[in-house]
Amino acid sequence: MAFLLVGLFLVLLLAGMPIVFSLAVSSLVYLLINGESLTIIPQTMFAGINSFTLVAIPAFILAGNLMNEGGITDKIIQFSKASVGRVRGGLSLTNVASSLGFSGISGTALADTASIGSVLIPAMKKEGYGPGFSAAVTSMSSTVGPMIPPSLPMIIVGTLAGASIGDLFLAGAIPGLLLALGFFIVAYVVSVKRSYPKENPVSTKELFKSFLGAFWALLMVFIILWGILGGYFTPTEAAVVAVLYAFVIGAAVYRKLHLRNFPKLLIDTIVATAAILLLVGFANLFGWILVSEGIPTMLADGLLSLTDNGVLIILMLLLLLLIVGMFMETIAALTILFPVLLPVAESIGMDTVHFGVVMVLALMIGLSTPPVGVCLFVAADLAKVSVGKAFKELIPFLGVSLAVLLLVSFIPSISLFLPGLFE
Amino acid sequence: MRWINTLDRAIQGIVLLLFSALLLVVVFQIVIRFLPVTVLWTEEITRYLFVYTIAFAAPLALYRKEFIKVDFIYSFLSAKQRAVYETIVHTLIGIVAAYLVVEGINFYLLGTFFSSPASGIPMQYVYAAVPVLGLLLLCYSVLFVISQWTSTNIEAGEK
Amino acid sequence: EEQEVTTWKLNHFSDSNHYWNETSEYFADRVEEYTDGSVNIEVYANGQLGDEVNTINSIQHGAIDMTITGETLENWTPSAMLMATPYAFNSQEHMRSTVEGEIGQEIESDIKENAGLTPLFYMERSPRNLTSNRPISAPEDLNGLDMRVPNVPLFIDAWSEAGAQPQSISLSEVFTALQQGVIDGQENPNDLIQSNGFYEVQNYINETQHVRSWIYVVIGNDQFEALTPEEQDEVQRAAEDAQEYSQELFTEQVETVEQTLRDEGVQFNENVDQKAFQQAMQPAIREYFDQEQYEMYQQIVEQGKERENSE
Ligand code: NA
Ligand code: NA
Repeated sequence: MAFLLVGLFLVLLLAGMPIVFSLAVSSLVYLLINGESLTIIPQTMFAGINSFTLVAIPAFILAGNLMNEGGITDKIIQFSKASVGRVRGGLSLTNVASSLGFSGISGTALADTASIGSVLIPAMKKEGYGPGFSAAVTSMSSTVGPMIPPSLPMIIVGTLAGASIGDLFLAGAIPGLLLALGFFIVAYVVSVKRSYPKENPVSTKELFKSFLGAFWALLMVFIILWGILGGYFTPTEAAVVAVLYAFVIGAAVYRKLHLRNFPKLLIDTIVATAAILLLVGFANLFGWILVSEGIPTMLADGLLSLTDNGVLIILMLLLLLLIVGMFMETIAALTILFPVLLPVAESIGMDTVHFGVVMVLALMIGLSTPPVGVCLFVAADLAKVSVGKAFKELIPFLGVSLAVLLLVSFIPSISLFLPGLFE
Repeated sequence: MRWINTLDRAIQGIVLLLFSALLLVVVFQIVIRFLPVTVLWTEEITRYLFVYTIAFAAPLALYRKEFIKVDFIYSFLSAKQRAVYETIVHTLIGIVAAYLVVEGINFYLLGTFFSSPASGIPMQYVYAAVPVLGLLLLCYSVLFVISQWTSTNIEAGEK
Repeated sequence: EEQEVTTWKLNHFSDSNHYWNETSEYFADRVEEYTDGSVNIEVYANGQLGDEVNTINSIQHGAIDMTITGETLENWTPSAMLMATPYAFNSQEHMRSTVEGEIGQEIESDIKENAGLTPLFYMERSPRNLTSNRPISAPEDLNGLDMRVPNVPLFIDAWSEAGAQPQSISLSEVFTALQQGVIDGQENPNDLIQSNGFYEVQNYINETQHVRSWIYVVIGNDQFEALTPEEQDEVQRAAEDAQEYSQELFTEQVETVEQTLRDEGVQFNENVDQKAFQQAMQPAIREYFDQEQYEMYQQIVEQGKERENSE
């Protein structure tokens, strides 16, 4: 019977039904055929959304939007350009550095692609960078965003596993930095090979000035971590503090926020959130049916009966996650699969936080790959280049991501070192 | 079809009110943490405001095509085929929404038997968010189908 | 002749090593045996199918059939709060005699009538204790203590009245909150203090033993009445066996948990003035209950005193 549920879901999904309604329709059909109580539909939906922790999602999105509206993206790009622009391929390195800077205020990779890409892709193309390469750098480097706090996928993992979101935030930081480092290297090597231009070096004074410009944005990640780790507020409260902070910085320091823009900003934020949360609600229903059919246990037992070799099991998990990530949206994939796969990971001694980081990282990779890679699509669209061409340029960056994924999967201390410091 | 935009604007207004109230309650919760008083209803009220915010905002997301999908097939369709295709998709969404209304009312009725522990709010008022969501989703999916076959352009969706 | 098989889903909130789960599995086996397989019970541990309130809702509309529940039922029927009232009982024996006596029957019939659930058998819980980083032996020591209290109004009132500053934080966030110092203490039965790892971030378990409580394994009224009378009898027989079985497991568990906690290096503060805590919390209980429940409560306390005197 679970085949019907999952099969129908996949058919609807591939037929182009929005993911959230593919989940809803397949669940409804399943319940009708089995003659089960339909009141479980509103109930699981309500339970999925009725969560204090998830309030962090609109709050972090709003803080990001406020920062954006307040001109912060430009400041981050200016600072990135001043610090890394002078080397060969300066703008591509600037792109990676901007993603790194932007990751501290944004919770999703897509937000990074859209805001940084819309400024840097046209600039890169103008200076003679290939459009495919420009799209590839933008798309891949934005996957750093959700690894570095704040991070919506990590919040979802924390909610699902009852794990500490503070720990998850910290655990993603080093893998995020490793990714950025790898992307810097690839961008540099490609740029040298193709003799892409470099930017005029800036004086130390100008560098410092651009740093001050970006300072307030960079400070946000520290305020969030300080608040959570210092015991001043919970992750959700931290997100609301971030909103207040972004508001004050945008209005008082950068003086770019105007009250009249507020309603639209808020509506944009909430509508984006509602789309995510409705998905969480119906994924909760879908998950409920899977659990009541005993699928997680069956899958875990099935995987473990194939082999008891920890290395092989991790590799199988990674393969599964990469394939899922290629097709599914991150949050949907997390809500549906994290509870299913966690028992498998635990059975080979993986820590919840460690597995959370691995899963988020693996799913992030799919954001830049066909057939469904929203970051790649948005970046290719901004660069006005075909997805195929952009993907070809993306392959060396993909190599970096896969290498980091393997390192993070097999060396737990890469993710668990920072949370361990605060025990 | 001017009333569609009136409806849309009214819902936007409600969403703004709910979400602003939510932010204020969380700020209040942080502030009182540093004061020697105990207020226990903030966590509950935040959640309930959140549920209602989503209930009103999700239909707006439907109208604005914010829901992620795999548009592989869609990109091969002609304009006429797309209209048929969207009609099928939104009819299915409408059916789901109708079930949400009916079953949401049953859920609402379960809430008549008890109250929320910290705030004392009868749970039926909270559970009512689900049938509200269903009703609005149903409205918007019907409107969407109509818009596919009439010359109405969806002003709200263009923004 | 084809046999009609009834399948029940039992969703509960302990992990699979807890004695609730073992008892549930045992009960499922006995039911299957006694009914010759005509009633099947699938056990879901860790609240896989939803939290307590959602599960009770689900039983009422039929998506789930059974659960293990206690004072949460207060939301549906006020007298259920007597299942976890601070300092109602002075010993586990006192509690058992109450559950099995008239008051227990009254509570059971209230649950059946108002929440639509039929209690099949009960299980004891270990007494709730206060954990902290400094020893707390009397209500005076609570001054300035930010402690997490579950969202149970009477618990919150009682701890405020005794002098602490209760905070409401969901159970999943308590560990981090203790670790980061958002709160200084929390209260729970020893088994939960162990399974949630609170001993890692708290130095003391103060034996306040402020709440002795029990929980029921319940089945939806409709689901139970759908069985043939013979099947109902067999289920009740299995319930009696499970009741006895759980008693043994409980006694074992109390000892192992305490030993594990001691081995982990947490200090047990045995020097707690329980009488003082009882007096400090008394006004909150008086204030909270209505006349009828307060009389039941007083009756319980009186019976406790009689037991003590007769010993
Ligand atoms: Na981030
Ligand atoms: Na980027």
